[in-house]
Amino acid sequence: MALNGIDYAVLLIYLVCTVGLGVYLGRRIKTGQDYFLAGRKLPWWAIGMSLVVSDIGAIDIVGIAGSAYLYGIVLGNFDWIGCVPVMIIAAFIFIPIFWRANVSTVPEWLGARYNVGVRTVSALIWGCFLACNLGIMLYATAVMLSVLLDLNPKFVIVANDEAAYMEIVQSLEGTVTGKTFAPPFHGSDEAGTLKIITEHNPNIILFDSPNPDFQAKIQGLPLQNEIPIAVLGEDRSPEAIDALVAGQAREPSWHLIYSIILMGVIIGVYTLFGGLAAVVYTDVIQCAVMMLGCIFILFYGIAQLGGLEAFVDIIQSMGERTANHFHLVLPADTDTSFPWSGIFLGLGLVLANAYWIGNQSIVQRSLGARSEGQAKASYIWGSLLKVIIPFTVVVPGIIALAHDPTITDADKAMATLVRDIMPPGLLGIFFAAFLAALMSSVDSCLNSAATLWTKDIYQRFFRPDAEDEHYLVVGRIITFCFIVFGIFFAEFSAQFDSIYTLIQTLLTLFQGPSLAIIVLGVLWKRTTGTGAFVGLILGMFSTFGMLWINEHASTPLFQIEDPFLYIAWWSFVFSMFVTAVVSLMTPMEPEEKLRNFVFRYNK
Amino acid sequence: MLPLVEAAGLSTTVADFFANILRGPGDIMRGWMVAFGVTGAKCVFFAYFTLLIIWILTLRKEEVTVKNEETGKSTSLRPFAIAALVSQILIYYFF
Repeated sequence: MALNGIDYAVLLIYLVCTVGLGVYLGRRIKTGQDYFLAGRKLPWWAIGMSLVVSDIGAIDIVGIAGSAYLYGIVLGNFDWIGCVPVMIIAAFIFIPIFWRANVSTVPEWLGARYNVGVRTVSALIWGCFLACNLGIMLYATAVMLSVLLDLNPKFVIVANDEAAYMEIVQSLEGTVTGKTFAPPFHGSDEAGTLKIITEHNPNIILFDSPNPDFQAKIQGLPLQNEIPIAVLGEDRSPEAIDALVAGQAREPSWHLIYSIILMGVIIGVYTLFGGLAAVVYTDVIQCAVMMLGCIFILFYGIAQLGGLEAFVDIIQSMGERTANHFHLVLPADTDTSFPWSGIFLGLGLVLANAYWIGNQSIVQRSLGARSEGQAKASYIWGSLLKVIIPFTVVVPGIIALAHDPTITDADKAMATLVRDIMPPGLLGIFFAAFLAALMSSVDSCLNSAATLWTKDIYQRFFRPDAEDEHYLVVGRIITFCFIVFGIFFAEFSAQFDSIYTLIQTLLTLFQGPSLAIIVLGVLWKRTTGTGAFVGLILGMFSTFGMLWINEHASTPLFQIEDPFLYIAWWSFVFSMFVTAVVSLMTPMEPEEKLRNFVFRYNK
Repeated sequence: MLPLVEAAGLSTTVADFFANILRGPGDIMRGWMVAFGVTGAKCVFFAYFTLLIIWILTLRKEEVTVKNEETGKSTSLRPFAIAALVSQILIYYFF
């Protein structure tokens, strides 16, 4: 996709405004509380928009739209039952209790309610997760940039027939080559292939079998660069293709790592200077830009297909492949990873609650609200915005399927749709919308990781009594370190097949146990620190255990391919049980650990 | 512990042992979920949203009210929360 001058101007204006606002807000910051909690002066409307746009980030644009391409509207569950009811429960029960405790992080609250052991374990888990998540988000952002700007290296496959071509393309799925190269061009006839090669200047040409005459014709083309030619032969395995491409392809002019560094630096600058205030107020701009852009893609994409009726007809005419694409509730024995039982129990009752109640990068902004009431209102406002989000993120994934059912890497579905249908001149606005969504999640993650490591690790164990200004300096240093770490970890993320599955799997490891001790701590006064500590540790072991058994047993423990929803549910139930039993065996916590920490304790 | 088990080549045996213990109750529960069918599942979703609406209606006034410090005006969050949940019922009804 070629951006023109106007597109670049729009992008530049957006980036300058975002970075400028962050740096401007940074000039007002004098203390650690200003940096980590925006001085507790944030209004409800800004927090609500920030909550929503932070949740719709790289993972959603790339991962959810990609999964919607494969599985349909069932992905809407992640924003509907996975957000709306939970945000309302959080608004009326959990968020007011967190806000009243005057803490900066969720682990800090756990420390006040339970003990330092629970706080430390929770802080280390969240700290490591947020740091890794930062890298994954940066990687997803870079993938988007590369696809949208057509920066990926290209290759042409010259196959004798369609079947041989498809065999090679399928081998590419999930390989490093398939992730980093643009979708391959198919050279079905000599004249057509020569034209493709001249126009696209590929980095390598793969022949499915030797063809000396045609190879000589290619070498005779008047090209800017010499294009390596490789012959696959009998071995068409992913490993063979990876090795062949890595060894012979011409070095691309733009690497994925350049995009990762570029995004890391831009996001890092305003987050480093402006802290939470910069994150939230830039999120407001990003929320408006992203929603407008995505709504336009929704309506324009459907219009391009001939209207809503034509769009539905195209999807339904694809037969078995799209039989469930317009069904939110799938049977418990579905082949996908989204059976209703997993969606309701694992997502609706555990993962969603853990995310909106226990995730530091989400909860932190409500801790910076002007008042307890405004903290509640921000979550209710966010839940209302969430109602429309799947229409802007999930449905475009299905539109991408109707537009082009041959996309081999689903993570690139949304980007391909935008690249193919958007009219010239308007591209900059949509590109800014994507960047807005991507940047909002990365900045939240970065700021939360820095807050957590500063408050729960550095302040707790190294300098508990320093001046508040000292923590501001430390927070900025840690933010800088995480930018560097995130860039390195982003490279590692490229090894995984689906970004979204990776993040869900990581979350599953500790979301259930983490939520169990928060829920019991708020709703049951009998919960003790020892009970919570044992429940958290054993709960995580149970998660590891289930994953290990599922992987190593001769017949998998769970009957769906990716059982993260079920594992979340069972680890939550197990942790609740262990925490409750151990709590009943240990003495009750003193009055000061219950007052203002347990729902309706004094009323 | 687990690396030792793997190193000893016992991983599949150990995993199968635990999997067989857990699979029995798991299969029974899965059978119940499958028997529910999609219509039954939708009823579970509707019941969840409806119970939440009822719960919101029973919350105390001070728990659902936001007071504006500057104007002194109070706003109830109850109608907004209920509107969000009603939208969920409609969405799950149509899809």
